[in-house]
Amino acid sequence: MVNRKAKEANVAEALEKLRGEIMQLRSKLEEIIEMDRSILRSLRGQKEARIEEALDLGALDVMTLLALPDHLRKTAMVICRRKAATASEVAGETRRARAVESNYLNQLVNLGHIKKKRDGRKVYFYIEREESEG
Amino acid sequence: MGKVISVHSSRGGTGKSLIAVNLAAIYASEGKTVALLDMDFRAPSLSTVFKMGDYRLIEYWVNDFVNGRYSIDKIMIDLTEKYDIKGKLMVGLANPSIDAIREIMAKDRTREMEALRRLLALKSTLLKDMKVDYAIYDTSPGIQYSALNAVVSSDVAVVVTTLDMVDMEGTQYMIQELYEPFEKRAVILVNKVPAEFISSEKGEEKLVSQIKATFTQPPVQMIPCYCDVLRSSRISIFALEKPEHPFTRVLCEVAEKLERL
Repeated sequence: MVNRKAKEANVAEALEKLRGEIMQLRSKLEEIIEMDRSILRSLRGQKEARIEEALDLGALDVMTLLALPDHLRKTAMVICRRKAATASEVAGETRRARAVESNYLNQLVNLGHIKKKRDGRKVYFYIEREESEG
Repeated sequence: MGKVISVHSSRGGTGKSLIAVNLAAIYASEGKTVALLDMDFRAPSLSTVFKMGDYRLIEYWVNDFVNGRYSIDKIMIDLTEKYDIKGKLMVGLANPSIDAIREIMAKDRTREMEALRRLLALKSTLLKDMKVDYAIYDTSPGIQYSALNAVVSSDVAVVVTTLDMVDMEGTQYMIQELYEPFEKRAVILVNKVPAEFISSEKGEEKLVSQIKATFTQPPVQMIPCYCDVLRSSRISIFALEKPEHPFTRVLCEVAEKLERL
């Protein structure tokens, strides 16, 4: 009888110890989850900042032109030289197919470097200016 | 139709401005209409070279054109009579004041984009409207906005290098990483070559083949190092002062070769 009581006491003690350890684990897990969340928040913040920076990088200055892949640089240079141009006009200068230039011009639009506007049946690509021509 | 020539180098002190000024003087003395523009906005030199006096009395600068304040015809100064030249020599000066240099340094990317577009349009204004035969842009050394804008908007870049290893490597890098991406024609002009290197035909051939191996093109010319040029301290325009000097004659050959390009 005494032996059985002692065994029960041991089990209860072991269970209590286990409960304590589980509680500790749970609190550690909560800490880790919170840490993960804060890392994720910080990463998201950095990504958003990078996107904002990228959007701000729309200007087609000479360093940006240099950073563009060769095929896009050639197209972008034509737009830099002219006030506005259609895909056919660009193709006339680069001696590449109109459809190819249309694709490249739209890539430059998507990258935020140039804009496009429709005038009747023609689509013009141009660089948005902050001021009027001096 | 004329030509826009930019004179560039990977580092300072190669003789870029000296060559730009004397090339302009040679073309003008041959009867051509020449526009020489100082595009080294951080270290301007042409107002001193052409003895323009107190810079505070000069009203219009190339800076004003690049920043969109004035058109180019307001900026160019006709020096034909001052130097009694057969053709016509006009110069555009860069403002050496600290305020002007600060303004250039503070330009953001959008302003640099506007500057590039103005320079790209400048070719037609100079060559068509102002009937210029040769427009020569004296640029700042290395890879910086003002130099790149000038190089990209020119027809041919004359890259001045010395035989110094750092100059040579820098030039090689610029050819690969700058001129080639922009499909820009670049010619190599080797300046300050020690006379003994090219005193014999064999020595000259050896040097040319070494340079050809480095740049995948032979130099357009090799200019020996003349103490007379250093001695002149740019008090006068060397080519006009000494038209028969070997330095002037060798530069005349460069002018001819550029004309044929």
